[in-house]
Amino acid sequence: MQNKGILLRQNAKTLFRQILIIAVSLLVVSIIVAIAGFSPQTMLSGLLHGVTGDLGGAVRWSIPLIFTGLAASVAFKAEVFNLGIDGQLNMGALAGTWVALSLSERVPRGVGLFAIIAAGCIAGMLFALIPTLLYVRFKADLVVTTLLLNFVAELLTDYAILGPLRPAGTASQAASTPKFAESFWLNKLDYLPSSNAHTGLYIAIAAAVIIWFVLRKTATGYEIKLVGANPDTAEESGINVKFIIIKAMLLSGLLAGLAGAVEMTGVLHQFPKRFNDGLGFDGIVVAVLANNNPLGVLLSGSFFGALKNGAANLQRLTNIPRPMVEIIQATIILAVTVKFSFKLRSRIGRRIKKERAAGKETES
Amino acid sequence: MVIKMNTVLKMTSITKRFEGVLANDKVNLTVGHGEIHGLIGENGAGKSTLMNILYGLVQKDSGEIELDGKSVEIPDPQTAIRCGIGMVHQHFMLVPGFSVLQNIILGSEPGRAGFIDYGEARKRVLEIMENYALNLDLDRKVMHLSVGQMQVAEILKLLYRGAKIIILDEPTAVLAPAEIQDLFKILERLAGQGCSVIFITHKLREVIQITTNITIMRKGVVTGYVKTAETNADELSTMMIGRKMKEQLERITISDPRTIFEADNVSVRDSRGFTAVKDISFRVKEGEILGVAGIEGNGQDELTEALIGLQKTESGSLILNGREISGMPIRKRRECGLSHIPADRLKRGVVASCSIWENLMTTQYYKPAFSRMGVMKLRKCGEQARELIDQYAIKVPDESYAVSTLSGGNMQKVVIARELNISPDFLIAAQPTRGVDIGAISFIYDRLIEMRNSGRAILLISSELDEILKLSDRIIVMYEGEIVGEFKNDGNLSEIELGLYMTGSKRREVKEHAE
Repeated sequence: MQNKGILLRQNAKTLFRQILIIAVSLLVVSIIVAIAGFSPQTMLSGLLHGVTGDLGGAVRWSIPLIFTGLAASVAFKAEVFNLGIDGQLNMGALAGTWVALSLSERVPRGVGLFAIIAAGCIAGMLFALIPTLLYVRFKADLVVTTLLLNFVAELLTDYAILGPLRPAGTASQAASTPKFAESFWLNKLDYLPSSNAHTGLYIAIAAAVIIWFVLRKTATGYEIKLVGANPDTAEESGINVKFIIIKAMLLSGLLAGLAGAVEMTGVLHQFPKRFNDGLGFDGIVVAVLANNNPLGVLLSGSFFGALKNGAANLQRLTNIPRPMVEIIQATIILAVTVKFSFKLRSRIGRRIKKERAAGKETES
Repeated sequence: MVIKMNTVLKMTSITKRFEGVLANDKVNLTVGHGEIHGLIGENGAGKSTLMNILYGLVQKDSGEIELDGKSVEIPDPQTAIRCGIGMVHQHFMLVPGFSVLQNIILGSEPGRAGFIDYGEARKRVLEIMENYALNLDLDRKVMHLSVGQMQVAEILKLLYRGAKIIILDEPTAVLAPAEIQDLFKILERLAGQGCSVIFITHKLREVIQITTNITIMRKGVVTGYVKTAETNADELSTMMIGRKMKEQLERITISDPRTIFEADNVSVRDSRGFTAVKDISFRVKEGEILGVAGIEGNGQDELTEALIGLQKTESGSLILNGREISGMPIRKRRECGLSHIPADRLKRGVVASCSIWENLMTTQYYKPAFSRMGVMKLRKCGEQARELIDQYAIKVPDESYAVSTLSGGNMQKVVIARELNISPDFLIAAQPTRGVDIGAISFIYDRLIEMRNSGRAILLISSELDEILKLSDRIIVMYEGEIVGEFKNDGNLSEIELGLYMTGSKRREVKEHAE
């Protein structure tokens, strides 16, 4: 197309803007840290160490965040708010673990892995289908239902650990399911030794590319975009809006479930009680920072992965306490969602222009 | 330059630039004491910007405003009101649940210590009403008023605040012909009492009827200032659009036309559950434009939605090309040859944030020509879009621009290109030229007549009587959800007569006049 140049420039502009947002938020955080009486320098170098010193750790956290970021992007494209990514992820993880535990060790590794991951995807999808049907059929607000179903998912997983999936020999206090057979674990990445980075990374990259293709090149993606941008016109044109919303939510749930299953086979190899500390909500931020662009999610997911890892390191390597680390993350999240810097900049710019124009007039 | 009476308002060399576009370029406007001044121009000519500057809603970049010979700065509407400038917006700014009196005094209530002195307020308002011979029940809730009465309430509100210059932004757009005449009487009385009125419109007939002087704007500059008595509609429209209006296309009569669409005893409920369309029947034949006249809100929207499939019909049948379509989903109906230009372009016609090609494809994208196995043929889509942009003279650099960057006229052309290019058998055109500039209007009219001439059927729903009379072969009038009159448009219909049917003061059995 003739507009490659413009598109490229737009993308570059978006990227630059996001980087600036990050820079500004790091500055704000440094100030807060300084006020709290710690050294901003220690903090920044600690965060940086999360990438340079421990790339494997950064990659390990990027993987689930890319999946949940994609899940959020797909839903946002259709303007539906899937705040239940965490619940869908938990259900996906649970289903994956259950399948892994039920499989005999003689099942070929490839078949087993496929079954585990497929189970995760299906579980995520089914769990996303519940609020979607409630919305489509009864107009139950998706924000509320998806959010509340997170608790349902959490309690269901608690029950599973205490009941059907309780490790043999433990009493009622099990903190985790048993570990499943080693042949169903994803490989570690050789080039990132002594870390938890695993081949799930390739699945994440492939997922991002596939979602990009779906959104950009397929009729489904086109429908999702139209429905998200103006459902009335879409309906008027003959598009079945409800069906598209179901499609988008199912796809979102699938990705969330995938995140859970990969987390199980890739890192944890069992389902520890309440292992998920908000990967789904982090995914929303990842999507916002990436402007819902699936390829952008690769970048922003990696950034948040590094940040998450850096924050963990910070706690280990410096005297900065955990609440401070959480403030750092929250500030960046706020900055990302607000995008304040640009409005401010353009307003200042306009004022300068206005004053210049006024100045010219008085001269003449 | 004509200067008559004593000048009340003088705007000199007003310039305003928005993001690089000159909305007003050294605009001059002079209004005399007790004058009704017409301000005309197409959409985007800069009328609204100029008035918003006068009313303090927008700040001018340069230029001067003089009131009664004194230079003033108007940084906000409060200052404008204090200077005696009042504005009736196109969309009324009234609180529906309040009485007329409460609305009038809202914001400047007489009284003390937080208590409103309604007796005093009523006395003052009644004084004004007597002074200008206005008539309105002060205790009625605004939501029970007719549109014309709401307008009177708005004008009263301004007079109560001591307005000497009253700006009316397209005041007749929402009125029936008889109500328009009432409004004009009120305006004349206002002018007689020394108020100045600035009357913004794009309807030439009205401006010629009511004003003393006219300022014409085009593309941000004043292209003319004339005495109304010394001009005519042709001259005005030439100044307004910069060239002569085109003659309309010739109409071809089709012999022995078959019925394309038939609605039988159709009833539709609105979103609140009230019956909005009551037992309506009509037919549209090949090569025919059937106009549906009526004041907005008399069931036209619900009828349209039922025809296209956005709303269920309560009873009755809809037959298109011999097939019952009332149970079909929208896409199926479209595939049967139905097409629709929606009344609310931004809400239902386009996806503003999406590109032009994406908007042109919304009814087509799934067809084999444009996608295979769910993967879209983006190159084909682009080609098709470029072809349509060419064919429908949509002014854009290329098809990847967002529709939100287009003017109203070009946006409407996108909708029309999409809806007409599939050559539908039956087109429902609802308010096809609303908010569209004159050039695009004549283009759209031509396309509709072309379609009619090629043997298609068109249902034209419009609140502009002009448009109905100009295009229709036959006219039905809707009032409170019913068809209250049916007419052959043979050139002998008077607007006032139709207006009587539109406002419910006259009706006749439709059956006796059907063919």
